[in-house]
Amino acid sequence: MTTRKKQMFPIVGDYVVYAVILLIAAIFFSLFFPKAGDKSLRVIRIQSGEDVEYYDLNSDREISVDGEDGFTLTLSVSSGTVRVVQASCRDHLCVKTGAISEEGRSIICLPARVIITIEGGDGSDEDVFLP
Amino acid sequence: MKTIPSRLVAVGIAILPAVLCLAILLISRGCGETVSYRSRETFAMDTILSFRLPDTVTEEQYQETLAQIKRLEEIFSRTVPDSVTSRFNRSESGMEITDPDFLALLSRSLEIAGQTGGAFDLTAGPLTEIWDITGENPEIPDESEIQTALTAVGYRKLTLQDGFLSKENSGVSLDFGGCAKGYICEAVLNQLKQLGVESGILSFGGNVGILGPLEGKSTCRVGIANPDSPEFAAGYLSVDRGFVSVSGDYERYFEADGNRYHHIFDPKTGRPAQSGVRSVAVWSEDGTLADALSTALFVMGVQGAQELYESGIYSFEAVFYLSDGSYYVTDGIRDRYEHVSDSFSREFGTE
Repeated sequence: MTTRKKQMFPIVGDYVVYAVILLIAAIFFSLFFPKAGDKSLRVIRIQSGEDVEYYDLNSDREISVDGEDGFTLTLSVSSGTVRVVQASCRDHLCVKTGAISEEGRSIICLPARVIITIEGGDGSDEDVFLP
Repeated sequence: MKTIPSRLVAVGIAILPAVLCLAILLISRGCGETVSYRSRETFAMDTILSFRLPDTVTEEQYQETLAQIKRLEEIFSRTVPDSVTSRFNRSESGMEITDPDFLALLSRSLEIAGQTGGAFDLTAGPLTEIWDITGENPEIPDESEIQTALTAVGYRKLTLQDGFLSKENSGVSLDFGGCAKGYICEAVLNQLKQLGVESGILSFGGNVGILGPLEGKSTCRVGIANPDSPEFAAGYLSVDRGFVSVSGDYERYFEADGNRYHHIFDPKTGRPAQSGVRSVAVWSEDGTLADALSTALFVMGVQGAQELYESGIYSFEAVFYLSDGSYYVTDGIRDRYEHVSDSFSREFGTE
């Protein structure tokens, strides 16, 4: 009887098993929930020709972008959104696009060859967006 | 009789769910084989082209697809001076067509123009020019200017016979802007398929081509812009193949006298189409058809679209957002569409 009671207490081997269980659980969660939302990770990717720059979407500021053929754009980052507030191009479609905030959304200025895209964030389940 | 120690039973009970979860995980992920994707963007065809393709697609293969796009753009573009289109547009009465891609898209465009009663029309270029919607100071043209432009508009003013394309008068010109992106998107998709690429998404300025659902998904979820606030989706279409094209009055427009003048013209009136449609997204397994029909259905309106859908001439599905605040989804795609917009709050035909 005394021997059986002793077996109820954990031994070194038990701790190894517990560690394995925790490890498996950790792998499980990291693989199934890889993008558990953290909106603070969202960044603005600005591509002008071959040049690419990144800015924090949660840091309010104005950004000047030099595009191709002498075109310039002014971007306003405010409250987790970005919009083009001024553009020297002819059609101003980039200004008309308005503010973007969701992952995968883009503002495009064709004359200046500038693409502004939101990256990172809370892992939208949308695969592609048709503007 | 030997008994199993209770500690072993407890450990077994604890470990079983974890082992089961791991098994499910491995099975669902193809026993560890995962595909990662790389997004690339480039400018061509007067728009932005986006590629979301498996990492296994090499830079050389990607460059081959860009070369194919450039080759086709130089055939169809009306702004490239030496393109087949430009040469035809400059001709007095027409010219012989030998390029197989040009012949293929030309024949298809004429056929779709005929089947849609001219709602899709590849000769509408003069209207785009006089309205100059994206110009610096766009204005409503005079009625006489519209009537003059209309003398050169109408697919029936083109005749394709024995490889020779002739025009009724020297002003008649070709503009493949309403279908070339869809045709080129399909050509690139087929090129990638031949390379063995089985999943990925192409997005060519309002036209999406689906190679196959991304790894771990059964469908591709396509967000369709809300015409009232185009940076947000009004609904989602979940499809596993084919092409989705969209045409809307929010893309290129100017406002005057309290009216919105957009870039999708009714070839019959010479004015921006007033069919009650704000935007329409078309799904089809045929890229050219999806692109051309998105323009045609916008001009035709819901009733005309329903007639074409029910005729069975073409295999397509469509989602409409209408100016009366309703939305309409064709029957074949209802179970694959999720509506999320409050501004288009009721289904077409309901109060």
